[in-house]
Amino acid sequence: MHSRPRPAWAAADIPLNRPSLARMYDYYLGGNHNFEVDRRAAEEAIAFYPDIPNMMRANRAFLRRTVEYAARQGIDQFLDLGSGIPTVGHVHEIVRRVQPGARVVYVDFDPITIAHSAPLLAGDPRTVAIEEDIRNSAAILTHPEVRARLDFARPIAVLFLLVLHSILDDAEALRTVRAYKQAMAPGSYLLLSHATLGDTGLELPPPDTSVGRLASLMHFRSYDAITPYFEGLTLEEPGLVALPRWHPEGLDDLFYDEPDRAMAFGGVAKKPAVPARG
Amino acid sequence: MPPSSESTLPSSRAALINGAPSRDDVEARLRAYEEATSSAWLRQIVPISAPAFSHAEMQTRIAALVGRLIPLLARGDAEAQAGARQLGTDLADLLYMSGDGLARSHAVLTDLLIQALPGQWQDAHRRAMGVLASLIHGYQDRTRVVILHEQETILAALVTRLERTRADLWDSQARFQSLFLESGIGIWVADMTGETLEANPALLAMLGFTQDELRAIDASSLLHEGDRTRLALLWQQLAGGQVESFQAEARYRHKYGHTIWGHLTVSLVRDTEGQAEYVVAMLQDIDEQRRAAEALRNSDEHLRALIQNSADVIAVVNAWGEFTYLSPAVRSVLGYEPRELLREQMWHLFDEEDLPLVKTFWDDLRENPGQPQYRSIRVRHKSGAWRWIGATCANRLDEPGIQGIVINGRDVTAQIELEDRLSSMAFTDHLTGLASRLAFQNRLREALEAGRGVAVLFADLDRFKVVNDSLGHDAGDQALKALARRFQTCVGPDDVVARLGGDEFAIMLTGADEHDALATAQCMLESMREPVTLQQRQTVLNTSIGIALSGPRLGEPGELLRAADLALYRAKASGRASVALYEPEMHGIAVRRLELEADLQTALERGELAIVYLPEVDLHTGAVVGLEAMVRWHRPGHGLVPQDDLIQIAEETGLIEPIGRWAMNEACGQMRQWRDAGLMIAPLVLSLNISGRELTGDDLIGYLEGCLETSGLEARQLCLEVSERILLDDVIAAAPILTTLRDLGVQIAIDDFGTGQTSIAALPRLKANRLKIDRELIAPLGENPADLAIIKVIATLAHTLNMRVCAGGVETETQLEYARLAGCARGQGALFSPPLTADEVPAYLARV
Repeated sequence: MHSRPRPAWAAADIPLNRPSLARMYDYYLGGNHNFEVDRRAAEEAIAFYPDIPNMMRANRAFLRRTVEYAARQGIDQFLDLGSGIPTVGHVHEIVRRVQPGARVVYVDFDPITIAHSAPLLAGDPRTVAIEEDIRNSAAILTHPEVRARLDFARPIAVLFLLVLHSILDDAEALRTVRAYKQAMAPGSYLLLSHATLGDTGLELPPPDTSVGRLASLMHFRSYDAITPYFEGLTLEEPGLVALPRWHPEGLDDLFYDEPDRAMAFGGVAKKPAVPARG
Repeated sequence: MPPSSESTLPSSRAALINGAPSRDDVEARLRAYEEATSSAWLRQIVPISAPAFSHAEMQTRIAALVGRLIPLLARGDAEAQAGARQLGTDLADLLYMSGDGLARSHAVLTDLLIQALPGQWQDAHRRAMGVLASLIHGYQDRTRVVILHEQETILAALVTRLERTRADLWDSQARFQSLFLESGIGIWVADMTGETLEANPALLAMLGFTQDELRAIDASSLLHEGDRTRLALLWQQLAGGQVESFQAEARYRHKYGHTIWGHLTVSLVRDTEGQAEYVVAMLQDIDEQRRAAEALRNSDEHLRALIQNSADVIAVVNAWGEFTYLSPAVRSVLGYEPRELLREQMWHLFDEEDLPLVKTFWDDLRENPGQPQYRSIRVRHKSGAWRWIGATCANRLDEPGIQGIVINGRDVTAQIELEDRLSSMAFTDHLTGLASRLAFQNRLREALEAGRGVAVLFADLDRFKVVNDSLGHDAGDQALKALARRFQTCVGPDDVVARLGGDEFAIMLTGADEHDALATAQCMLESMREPVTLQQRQTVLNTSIGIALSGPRLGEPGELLRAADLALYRAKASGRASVALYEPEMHGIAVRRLELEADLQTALERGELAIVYLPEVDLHTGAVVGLEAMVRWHRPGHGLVPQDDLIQIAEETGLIEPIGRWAMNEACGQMRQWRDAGLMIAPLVLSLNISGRELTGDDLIGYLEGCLETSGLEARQLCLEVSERILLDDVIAAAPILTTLRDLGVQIAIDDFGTGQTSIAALPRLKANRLKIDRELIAPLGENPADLAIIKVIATLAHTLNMRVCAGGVETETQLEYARLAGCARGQGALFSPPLTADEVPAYLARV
């Protein structure tokens, strides 16, 4: 007899017995959109590396600075890939201080995250949250809810903020970013931050611990491995740098003096009218 | 003082303290002072602040806060404190409730604002400290509201999402169910002894029996006598495991005696260990075809017509496997024109994987001329898709007119798919031997349709994935089997334990109420305490359990299962090894509760609370001897909040203390007003309810003495009513305070006596001088002599202990008569007066 396809009635379930990275991120930022399983995992991670909450803060501040920057360049449509739970400072709230009519699409594959965002955005026709894996670029770029809000013929900002580390395969991560770059009109911006071990000398915990298992779901990439994501685009000043050094606001900024402690590189790049030579 | 403030402040501080400069000068210096404060504050919080605001924005907001704060510091009155609380709220939003942010802000503000004042200005110092305390209070209140709100939203998201997933799941099961119910093919599910488990409506219609009638009879008796032996042999082969399935055409007996022809497909369903468990049979009514065939048997012309028009493909294949004839139906069944296949080898129509099987079948056919054989085989449609063809083949190679193998092929794809689904949808969970999801659903539906009340328990193992990941799936399976056995020991013979899949179990308790369900859940939790041995390791597992009880609003299996599921997730969200009972408005309640709490926070400030007075009367003279002060809350838009809710929320939120003190102050002040107005209140005793928390709270005695002093009330005119529960729970903590109060002359009453657990024997230990018998004991007076006797005993004992007894909730003359008879000196209740507002009291006192 042949093995036939899995029956259609085997529906997916909500894994509440596993920590969610989105809810852990929320916990690191001081939010309360999380469950005991998330908090326990987050505390274990903090016990291993106490800087984690501040790393997340640094990334959140980077989000605000880059999004404000793009809005000031006249961008009024944003695609936030791997948006997570908007603990504090939704992208649409930040950009609308500069571009009051801005349109924002949030994408995340965590069903609870989307179920949480949906009612928050319900009264606002210019925003929407889509449940999808960011690797399914075709599904996202042709999604009717996305198409109804974003005009890909005009410049747009695409955000990959601390999300690409969850695509473990290098080629697949590059392919994913490339698909969105191709869909962007000239004048569009890529806003990207990526987790790194850089020169910190930090060693990941052994994979047979619970923290180690979580860490094994992330791929920390080197500076040289992150650079190719910007291929074909022109990096804005100051280029790809440690997050605290990207357009800092003052000497009191978090980790300004020890930028490596943010454990992430980030940058903003613009798509030129004629593709730049790689 | 930190060096930073030292360096930024000298000139401004000097300006605040010294000399008598001009007005402009003061304003300019004040501005400089504000700016210095803002920048010091900003520098402290920028590195830890929530990253939602830019520096520029933070700067503007901090400056605005400083601008608001400075004028408040100097005042320190109630209005300033309310303003400071609002400031605290705004600061919490700005810092996203960071605890570190609050600590740093506090440090900056005490250093810059308070220590800048000279030490001898103690009054100003104290006022400013009070304002800062209010600011922190506001910060904390806001933090709490946000935490509750965020927890609520994430829980609501979880519930929304679960409801959707569950709805999808039940929908897909409903689709399967409808396939079974609405299929035109008869489906029969039996155990290995041939006993009917389930028959679909098509089968029942075909044979004329009801489900129950079919279950009651031996299936083989349905067969025509002439076919029994043949099919019994086939059944034996199947049951003996020699074949997985067989097909046959056979005659069946209809309930009314006539015979019908059916095409039968019988397959075995095995469990994961390969044990045969079920038989699934599908019966297609071919009676009409068969009759027509018989009628036309001898007519060549009719035969040709039949072949040409049949929906079945009739094909002839020669000894080398080439098609020599194909009927037009090959067009609709396989998408080919007959001429496309004519003279072609048939082998390329099969999947390579199937070829050995087909070849064996072919050889078998060639060796056995004349005997028709049946087989279902996958055949490639012209489009490339696979179709299942049920082929009846007969070897006619030796017949001169044919010289080939005649194949009658029919598209049975739908039938095979159905069979496949049935096989995978067995009624027993293979791993644990428990009921499967489908069986559970059926049993649940039956129970509900029979009108029996049921309880459904959903259990989901906590962190089961860890077992699977760390010890392997075999260990996980072993654990599931062990737990399944343990769960079965917790239920009765009429109850059903099922495994729904993964680590999810469901239990149906027939005729169970909430108490039974909770007892079963407890039994399950206890059954898990003993470790399971997995790979020589002792492993303890936990489970969470959600419970739903059938009722008018939960009458459908789907609703009930979803409710149990919601309760389960609620249980999971509240931690490991917990049990939750489904409530219809599980998340609505939490939301409303939150609003109520938030409103109560401000009710006092907004003047929404009021005091009413319930008179206490001497049962012998009818004179008013006291007034009990009670707090009422008219919540705007919602009306009067029930007293029990008010007290409970106030206790849980800690607001009971400020509210209780406000009530004490208010009621004492009111007594003074009445006395000043010339009312005869001198002999009246004012009773106040006091909670355990207030009793052991900060400086109750001091506050109370203050109230007595300002109101001119004597201590013996004040009576504090404490519930018996509190007295018992806190007997050690409360004892010294009660002694002090009694020494002061304040009276202590035991409130609502008779409703709690206090035995009469415990009375002497309670340091009280009054006893109030609860309305629940008074209400039945006159109906039963035993009630009177109980109160008599209580009253006699109380008198022996020098306690005065008051009957609560007296509503009728009869109750009054009996209360007197039982020895109660005093009474309260509707018979004398309802609770009165402060305005109504003077008129009432004048009347009696």
